[in-house]
Order: sequence, then structure tokens, then C-alpha cells
Amino acid sequence: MTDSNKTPSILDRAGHDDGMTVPEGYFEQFAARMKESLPEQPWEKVSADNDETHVMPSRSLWQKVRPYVYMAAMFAGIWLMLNVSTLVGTGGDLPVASPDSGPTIAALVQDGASVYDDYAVDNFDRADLYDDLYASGFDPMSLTY
Amino acid sequence: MAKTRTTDDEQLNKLLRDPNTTRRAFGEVIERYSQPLYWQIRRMVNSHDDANDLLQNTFIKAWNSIDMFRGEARLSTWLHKIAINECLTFLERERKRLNLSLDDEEARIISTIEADTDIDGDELKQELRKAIASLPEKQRLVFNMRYYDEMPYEKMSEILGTSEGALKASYHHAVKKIEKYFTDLA
Repeated sequence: MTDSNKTPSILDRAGHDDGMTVPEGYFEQFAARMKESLPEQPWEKVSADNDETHVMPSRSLWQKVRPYVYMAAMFAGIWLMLNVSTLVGTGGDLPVASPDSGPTIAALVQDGASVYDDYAVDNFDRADLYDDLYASGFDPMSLTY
Repeated sequence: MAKTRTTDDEQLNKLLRDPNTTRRAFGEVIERYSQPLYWQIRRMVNSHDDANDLLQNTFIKAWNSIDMFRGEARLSTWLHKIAINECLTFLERERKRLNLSLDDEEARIISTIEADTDIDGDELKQELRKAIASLPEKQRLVFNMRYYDEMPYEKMSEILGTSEGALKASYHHAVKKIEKYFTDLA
């Protein structure tokens, strides 16, 4: 050790013992006391809990059926979403709006009678119209303009 | 005398990391390191009662942060760091509590040494303790670790986070000051 060459004689005489002491049996008592006073760690509690719950507590009826209920609800939701989008997209099986469907629609239909007439005139075949009139005993040619 | 070391530090590290054996292994740590840590603390604070309290705090802090100890550092290095930190914090707190200057603090340490009853009665050793009390805090720490514990500079460097060269210089200055203390006393 290189330090020893420079160590003054006073340190040689004093030696490496500092002269301090502890009460009799201090370290043994300290170790025992210290081990007892160590607080419980969170992971120790978890570990202990796991040891204690080797036998799982019985589950309630709701706990047993809950996954199936959730699954059924999920499928029902998916089915609804698919069908609603299909119906809205094609207009297929949805009930047709009629004057009885609601006051707003009824008002619109009543108010739009002329619109209906224009539509009919533009789209009816004139010959078909004459045939209907002849069949009912009315001669359209008798009309004077 | 500490209990015979049945397991080395490496095995102890493994046991500390296993939650099923941590508590038992920490008991082994307490038995193994109580004495070296106690003396390190006692030489800094001088009073047995204070050293006892600080040693308890050291182990409690180590225990509470045991999951942070991953075994990269040596167990003894980690524990010494905690103990030194406890000492320095305590001394700083005492300085503030008593509103002491550095000179006042030296006087307080000397009065603690004089009032200490847990000693073997050797006057030269008591005088050496007083001489060490005249050193600055960090130098005192370095001197104690090197002179009393005969700790290698490499390990001191790990614990204190200071280069070996700086530690050697610090120790050399401490020895010179102690030498001068006794020269002035004569």
C-alpha cells in the first residue's frame, strides 16, 4: 500500500481501530429488530393473496352468464346495423308513405294534387285514355273545342 | 461477529430478485452488512444513537427500493451509497436545525466525541477522532473509508462517484491535515 509510506507516526500509533464500541449484543439485537420491522411490500401482499386463493370462490349466476349476454348483445347490434343500412340503401321492405302515414306527408299529398295531375298527363298514353273513354260510352270526338 | 457467510453476493442478488425469497434474503443482507454500514455511519456522526437511527433508515430505504435494485451494481456499493446519503443528509439537517457554521459544526462534533461513552478509553484514538472532525465533510468520509475500512480506491470510486486520482489526492490532504493537527497540539 503506497499510502503507508506517507502515514505519519501518529496514525501508526493510533492504529486502524477507532476506539468506538457498541453496547453488548447490539448487532445481533439490531438484526433481529430490523428484520421484524421491515414493512410489508405491495408485491408480498399480492403473493400472499395468490397463495390464499388457490380455491377460487364460486361465481354468481350473473357472473356465469354475463359473457354470453354480452356476446348476444354484440351480435344483435351487428345484425341491426347491417339490416338498417340495407333497408335504407334499397328502400326494399320499408312501409311506403301514405297520406295516413302522418299529418305532414298527408298535407303534402293533398297540397300536391296538381303535381299528381301533371305527372299523370305527361305519362299516360293518349290512345289508352281514348280507349277507356270509348269503353265507358263517351265519345271524345263529340267534344267541341 | 457477523453470521458466517453461507451465500455469496451473487446468490444473494438472485434471492433478492425472487419475490418468494426477497424477505429472507434481505434478512441475510441485514446480518451481513449491519456492521460495516454501522461503522461507516458512526464514524461520520460519532454518536451511537444517531448511528443506530441512521442504520435503521438505511435498511428501510434499501428495503423500500429493493425492486429498483437489479443487481447491476454490487450490493455492498448500493448499500454504502444509501448509508452515506443518509449521513450527509442528517449532518446537513443538523447544521440547519442548529443554525451552525462550519466552525460551529466542528465544535459540535468534538463535543459529541467527548460526550461519547461507547469508547474503549484510549485517549490517542479519541484525539484522532477530534482531528478527523476538523476535516471537511467529504474529506472525512474519504479518510474514514480508506484508513479505517481500508477500502480499495476502486470501490471508493464506485461508491462516491469520484475518480480514483481525486480520492488519492483527498486522502493525502486529509493525512497532512491530521499530521498538522497533532503537530499544533504538541
